[in-house]
Amino acid sequence: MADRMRIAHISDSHITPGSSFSKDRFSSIIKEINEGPFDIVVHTGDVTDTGLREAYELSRELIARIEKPLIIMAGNHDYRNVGYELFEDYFGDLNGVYEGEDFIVIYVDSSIPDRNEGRVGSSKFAWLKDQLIAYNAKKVKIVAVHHHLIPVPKAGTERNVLFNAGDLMDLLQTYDVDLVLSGHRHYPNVVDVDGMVISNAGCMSCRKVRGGDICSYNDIQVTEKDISIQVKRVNHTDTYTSPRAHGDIFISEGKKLTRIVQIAGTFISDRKIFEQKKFENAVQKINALNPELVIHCGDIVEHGIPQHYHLAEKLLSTITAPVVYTPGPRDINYIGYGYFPHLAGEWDQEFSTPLFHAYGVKSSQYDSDVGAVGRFGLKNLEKIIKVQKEELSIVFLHHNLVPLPHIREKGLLEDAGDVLKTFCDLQVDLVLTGHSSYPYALKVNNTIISNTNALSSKYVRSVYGNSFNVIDVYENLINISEIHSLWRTKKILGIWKRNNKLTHT
Amino acid sequence: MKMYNSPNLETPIRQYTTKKIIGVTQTESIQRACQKMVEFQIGSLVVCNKRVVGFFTQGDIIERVVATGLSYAEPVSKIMTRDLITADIDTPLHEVLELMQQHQIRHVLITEEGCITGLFSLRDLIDVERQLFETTISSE
Repeated sequence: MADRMRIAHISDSHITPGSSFSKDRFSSIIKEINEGPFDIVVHTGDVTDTGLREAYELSRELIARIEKPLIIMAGNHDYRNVGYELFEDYFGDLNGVYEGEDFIVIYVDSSIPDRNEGRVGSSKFAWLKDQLIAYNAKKVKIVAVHHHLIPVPKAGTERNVLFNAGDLMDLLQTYDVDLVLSGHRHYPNVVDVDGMVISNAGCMSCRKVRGGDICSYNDIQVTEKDISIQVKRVNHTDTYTSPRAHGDIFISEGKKLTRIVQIAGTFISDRKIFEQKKFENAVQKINALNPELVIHCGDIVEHGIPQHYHLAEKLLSTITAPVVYTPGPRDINYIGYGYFPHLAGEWDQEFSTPLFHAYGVKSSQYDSDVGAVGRFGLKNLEKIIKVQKEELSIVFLHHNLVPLPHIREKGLLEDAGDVLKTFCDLQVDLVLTGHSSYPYALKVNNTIISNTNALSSKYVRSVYGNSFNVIDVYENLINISEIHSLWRTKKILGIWKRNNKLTHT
Repeated sequence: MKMYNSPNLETPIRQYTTKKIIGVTQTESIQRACQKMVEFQIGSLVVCNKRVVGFFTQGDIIERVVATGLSYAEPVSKIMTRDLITADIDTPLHEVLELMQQHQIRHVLITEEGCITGLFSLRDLIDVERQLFETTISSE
């Protein structure tokens, strides 16, 4: 490939004759871009604020000032007032492929009329997969989509999500996409997800910035070696650099330091939804694995009622290793909030050994599927983790922090963006969650995030059936495997070297 | 009812490749290498000396160690296959399967720009999760 490629990633210009658009900021960013050594400019949507013809007219006039090759995408605001009928007239195709000599940018429309959420439905998903196959051999593969894949910090309540963010992320990972460009949340964010860099651009020229931030754009440089992203604000630049690597060979695991079993969704009940045989087989296997700790990430019982808790107490006592719990929504519904402390103890439980410290964080709320950690709890946890003496930090909560495949993503953890960012910044080694009955593990920056399947509920989302996760920590690596509840067969979900990846200056 | 669909033979092998693979150094004993296979529940290991120099599978252990009575203390370099059969990660699935049929093997090492970065095993073909990317949340 050419030595390097340079992308100006802009988003959310929200152009309108109204007051929410900052023309000064727009002009200064365009001037910087026109004077910079950029190969291409990608605008990831919300070009207009209202989707009205007047906004499209003004947008066309202003966007024409960009003197570089340009990909321009629609966002949910461009769809407002049936603006999607106008977008193609003013700016061209909603979906497409821009082919460079060594690189490819595939842009896919994710907006829905009159909705702030997004989706890449079956036909577009299949089209995207076809493009990834067709351009499989390109050295740099870039996909642009307006809606965010990973929760963004400082963007308020996690909402307006991409319904199939998990499926999309899985597809992009499988095809070794190097870079994903998104916007939508009005706050810039850069994360490395197992070697795939996600660049979320903030507002380019919309006055609706978050948390006192100012307008910005992302200046991206891709080389053979790494991807470097500068989030450029008027007075400040943040740089994130991530090495480009998709394959890894693990030669030396070193000494095994600990083994932890992660379970969730036992759904203990006197009804048929609870599969007792699977529970018993799984417990036999867990006991044989001889873990140092079992972490139950919630949905212990089907309902928070006495019968289910009485049965749970009896059955869970068959696990020989120490068990710590965090409640799922089911555990605290009805009168479960009274029973959970009797079964498990504290709401936020801790467990430590000379090697690690595990912190439980209650994310479930009464009578609600929606979870929250809360700023107060997060700040307390931050203080505690910062001074912990143990080498390895583990946080466990019920709600998933990253989108999962085969789930309709609903953004169920209200503050997922801030929670994820806090854990990543604290360099928490492992975050364990147990929502939505699907096993999945990946590394975001330096933090491994593992979600476990339901252990013994009849309702499953994995075609393999029920399972639990076993986490083996060695001197040099961490291995997370899924173990089938009934057959006890093992499948690796992920292996990671215990080292630092993303640098931030 | 079935969940399994016939794979599209034109699909690049990238879709089925395991990109994180486990290896040993060439001086590692056969016993230690076998323990590693059991620990990670895998059927093969790459052998490295800075770069990948060899490869062996459970089948090789049966054929070259158990059947011959070779000491488990011998280094893996004694039993590894040195002539590596590889395929580029962009190769269509049918070409990889033809290669495997031709050499009568069940594992192929996958390369990117000449470097070994992954592994494809016939077992990966029956991994439904590798085909079933999409939950049909909407047909749009």
